[in-house]
Amino acid sequence: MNIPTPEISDADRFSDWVHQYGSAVRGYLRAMVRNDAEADDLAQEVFRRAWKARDRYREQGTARAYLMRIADRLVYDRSRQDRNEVNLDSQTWERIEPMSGDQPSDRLDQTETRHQLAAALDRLTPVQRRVLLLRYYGQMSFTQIAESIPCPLSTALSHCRRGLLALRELMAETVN
Amino acid sequence: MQDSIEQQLRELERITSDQPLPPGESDAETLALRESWSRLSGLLAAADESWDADQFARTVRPPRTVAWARILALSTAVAATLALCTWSFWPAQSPLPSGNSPATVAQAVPSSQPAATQSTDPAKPTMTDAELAWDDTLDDRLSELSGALTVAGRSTLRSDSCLSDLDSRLQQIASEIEVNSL
Repeated sequence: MNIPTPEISDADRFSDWVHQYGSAVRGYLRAMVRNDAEADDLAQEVFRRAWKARDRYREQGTARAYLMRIADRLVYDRSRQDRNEVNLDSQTWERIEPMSGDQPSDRLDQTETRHQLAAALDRLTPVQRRVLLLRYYGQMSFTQIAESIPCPLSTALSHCRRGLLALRELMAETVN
Repeated sequence: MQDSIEQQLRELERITSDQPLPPGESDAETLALRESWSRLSGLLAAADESWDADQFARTVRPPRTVAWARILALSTAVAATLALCTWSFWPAQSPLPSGNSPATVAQAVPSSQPAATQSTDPAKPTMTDAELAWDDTLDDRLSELSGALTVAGRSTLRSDSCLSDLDSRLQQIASEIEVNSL
């Protein structure tokens, strides 16, 4: 994948980063902190930090993985400050996040989606959530994920497998 | 052990990849895990649909602290240099050595300017135009000082030593003016 390399004098490069990876970064943050406004603030902070330390990115590889590592570090630091907010249950998430959408049916769909997603994320342990979300949003290899967490590769693989099995159980419960 | 990890790695990378699983090559557990992954991916994608990426892109700007920091550092350096020059140069120049006669002071003044101090001491003889002519030696010394001052202004690292040098040279000129040997 051809990744644009930002230069100090070229603000368009920064804009490319935001357009290309903003959705993934913000999606990861939102799934982790479960608060839209805070996810937006954290996403802005991710890009600010990424821009300031862009020389380090050149040594590390893909921009997406670089941004996701910063996002993961931000969430981790934040969770150490206030663990209660990070582990909001699905009811709290729905209460603090007003639904958007033009039609009542859209709202209903979004509510249902949020509910199902919240239930799925609740089923995962924090580290399983990190592994699966880094894999999905960051498109990181398991080796990169293991380095980012950090943990041995076998442990990261184990978290991924167990997380998927937990989701499988949830799906079976929902069907029944 | 290592082979087991490698095999598990390949399997999970296939399960969690964007590409569809090759038909007929996956066991039941792999298919079940794949279904879980697809379900999670679908929920995450649906949850992200309502987000306005363009709005977010408009609010995010690269930090410009570097430019401001440069301007601030440059301003500070210029102000420090000026303050250092003012502090070191003017105190050495303004107080004339004690006991200076008006005539010796007048020697340092170009001839185009009338020496107003001449008339204050009628006991001293009036200086001729030749005596009041521009002193080339003093001019050379002042040129040297000017050059040294420029160097001091350009090099912040050497400014202290340059200003000390300026101070000593001015003291030397003052003493030479005092003994009328310049």
